[in-house]
Amino acid sequence: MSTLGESPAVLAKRKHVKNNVWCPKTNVEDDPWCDPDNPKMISYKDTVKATSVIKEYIAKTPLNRSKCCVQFNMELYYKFETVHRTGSFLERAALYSLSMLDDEQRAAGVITASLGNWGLALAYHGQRLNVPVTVVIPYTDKCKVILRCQNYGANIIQHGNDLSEAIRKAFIIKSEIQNLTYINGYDHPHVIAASGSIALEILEQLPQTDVVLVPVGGGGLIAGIATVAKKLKPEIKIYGIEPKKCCSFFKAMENDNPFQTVVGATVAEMLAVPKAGCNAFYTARSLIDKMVLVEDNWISRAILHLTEEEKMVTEGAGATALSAFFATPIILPELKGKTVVCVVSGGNTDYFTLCRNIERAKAIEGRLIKMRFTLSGDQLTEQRVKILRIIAKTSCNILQCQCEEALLEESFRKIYFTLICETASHEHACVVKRIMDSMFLDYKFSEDPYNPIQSCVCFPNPMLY
Amino acid sequence: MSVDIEFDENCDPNNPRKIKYDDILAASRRIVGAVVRTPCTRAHMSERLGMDIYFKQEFLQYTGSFKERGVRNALISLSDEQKKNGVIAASTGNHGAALSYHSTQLGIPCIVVVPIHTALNKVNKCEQLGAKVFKHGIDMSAAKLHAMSLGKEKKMIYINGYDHPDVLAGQGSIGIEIIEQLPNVDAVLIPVGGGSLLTGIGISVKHLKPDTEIYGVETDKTCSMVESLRKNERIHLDIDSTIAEGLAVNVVGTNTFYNIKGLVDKMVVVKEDWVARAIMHIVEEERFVVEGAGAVAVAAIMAGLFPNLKGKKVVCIISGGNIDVTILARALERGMAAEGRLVKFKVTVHDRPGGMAELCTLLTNSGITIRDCVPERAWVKGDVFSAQVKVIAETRGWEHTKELIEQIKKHYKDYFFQEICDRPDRPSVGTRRGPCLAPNPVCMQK
Repeated sequence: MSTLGESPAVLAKRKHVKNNVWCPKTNVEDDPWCDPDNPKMISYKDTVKATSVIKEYIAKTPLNRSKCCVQFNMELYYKFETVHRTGSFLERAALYSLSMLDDEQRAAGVITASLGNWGLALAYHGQRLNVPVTVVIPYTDKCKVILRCQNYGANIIQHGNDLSEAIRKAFIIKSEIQNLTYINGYDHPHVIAASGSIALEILEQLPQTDVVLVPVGGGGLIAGIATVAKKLKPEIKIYGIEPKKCCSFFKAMENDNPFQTVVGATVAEMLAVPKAGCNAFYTARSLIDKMVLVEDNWISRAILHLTEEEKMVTEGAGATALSAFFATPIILPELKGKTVVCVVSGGNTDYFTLCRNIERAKAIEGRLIKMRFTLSGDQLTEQRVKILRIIAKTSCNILQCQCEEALLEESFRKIYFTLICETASHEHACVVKRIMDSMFLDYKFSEDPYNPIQSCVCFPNPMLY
Repeated sequence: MSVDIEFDENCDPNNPRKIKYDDILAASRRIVGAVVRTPCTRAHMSERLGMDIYFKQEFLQYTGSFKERGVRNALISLSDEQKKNGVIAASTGNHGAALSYHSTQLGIPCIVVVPIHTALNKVNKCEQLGAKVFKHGIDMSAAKLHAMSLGKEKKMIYINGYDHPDVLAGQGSIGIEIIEQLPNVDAVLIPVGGGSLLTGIGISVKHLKPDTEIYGVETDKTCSMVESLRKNERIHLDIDSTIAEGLAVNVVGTNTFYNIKGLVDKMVVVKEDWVARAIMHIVEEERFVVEGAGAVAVAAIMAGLFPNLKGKKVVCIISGGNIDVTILARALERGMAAEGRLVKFKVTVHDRPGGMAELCTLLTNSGITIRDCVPERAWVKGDVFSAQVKVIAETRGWEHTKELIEQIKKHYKDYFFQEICDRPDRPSVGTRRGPCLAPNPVCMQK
């Protein structure tokens, strides 16, 4: 008798249904240390323990007084975490979390997903402590960071458009190679505890601190600092500064729970964390006094300020805390006259990013101007010479100079003459603009901060400070 | 009897002043609290360069350079009447800024004379710090002449930024701090412009720890001290534009030249390209912004000019951080190019749809980042249907650049790579010829 196969009841009893490969388990991102249903609050004791473990290797970072206290109208200090070897504060966290692994875990290795700084710190300390490290980084053109991680012996995998996809990939790899330990770079309790050591140093070096400004990405840094600072000095204020384009922690505070957000491309690349850490949020939400959102332009200006005045190279994330003071209009008036510490969290930037930020900041401040003249008629050469003589007389420095034929204008002999010049300040640029206004009819300044001056007084000039 | 305008009683060639260690010790006590006691920290690039390098971070001073020490000491040492009349100097750089800042702090009137075409930001800096700035003269020597005549007229003391004896004593305080912070230092590398740092630190360090080696570093365009030592008299050196502006002193000081004999173990000359590379490495690895003059010591180590210091404790004086951001960007670019990480080349592609896309795909597949890609149509030579594409690309290093060259060679017939002829990162170690390739260099002799 031919069989029709086995009945569904029999199949069910045999548990014949397997998990299909194309539909992976929904909860592949299962991290016992960062469980949203069971968030951990970090205590002051954890931080003290972390500090005692790392202080042999990590020296106290400098806390320097700003040279521009008069300009900012407060006692401003910077905590420079850029002096670590891999250039960011995450070295403290990397050393502590690797030290807390037992021998079996160390031999098997760790895996993590990172935007760059955390992977670098973990790779460096992993090489020192003989722990194999695998890092998953989202697709980026940061070949230098990848190269440095590989120099420290880490295994780098590039995957995903943002950090969430990289995290998912890291967990998928972990589920394939069972023994790896996953360490979350902004939410692991050990990371938060080690970040708190920064606050211990700040209060030792400057007991009279009133306010600490902290950049916020996933929230690990501010959670650690807030725990320690509020315990040692309850009247201290902690402000979290986040870029407007990737404000996952701010949104989590509004929503009273972390959730997945969309992050845009921002100057502060290392803060582009789509979902705030659950432990960090649980620890910090009642300790943070204020969350502040900043624009990318202000961050560029802060990078320029730190490069020019304090002679320190910082990345966008590191300059985020200071950028709150470059806001127009002024957003933190209550800090006038107080003792304020800005945490400069990191300095891993490459030549192109640094130069682009400096150029942008100069353009915003009016020190880089772009003028486009439309010249027509017969005496084109004389007109150009006239323009160049005015530029020389007003002591501007010409960076670039270009002539283009006008393609679709009515008059046949018309050219566009574009000049990019460097000026000393916004006032100087306005002087140049006034002179050009009186001498030429058909030209304009190609950058936004200047056109509202000419068009209408209703539009507030975004530059005036 | 006419008074010679150029006569500066403190810097008289017929009466050079001897600086003693006691002067330096007194100076260091006087300037305490007004001047930053800068940290001397270990550099992260020590392993790569094979020695224990420490940076004395003088760019952390308020005006961004070590000149504050000498200036403060000189100002405090003036008599009451001299303080009332005021001080004058001719300087566009660090000395002018330091003088402006400290004279304002001490309530002493100050005038700074600068050449007419000085950049506005330098003028603004001195003015913001409280000094009166006068513009006079085509170049620095004309400005200095004007400053000295103005000083005689108004009875103001002219403070020479690299030769005044009090200034030399003030700079020597750095040496005392080094020995306190790093008692077992083996060598100190000092950038040399007029010679004040070299003399001051040389005297103090040799007094406190005589077996320390003192090296002076200059660039090939600003080697006035090297030439003067070779001819055994102070000579005038014409200096063109240089990346190490702080070292651009035409004639070294009288007092410095007089005191320097027997102090310096060796003078070293380094090429300017290495200075650009040093600035880039310090920005990348240490994350400090330093000026050209401040980076020459590191540049000399990177160029392999100190093979005898391998494994030793070496302190590099990072003399200042006042570099214009535009110049910083250019120095970084030159550094990247010298390391082989920035490549400029031209390739001829077909001027049809897809020609440039093909080139870009090839470049991306090689793993490089394209920064700029500009097509130029041929003017005279070549056929009408081709365009020359000028590409600026970022690679991972020399090996990667070589791979790129191979790829381009394979796919295109007409290409041109600029500046790939020589590899400057292979120093000529072990020969008797110095890096400047002079036939009998003074830096290679003892």
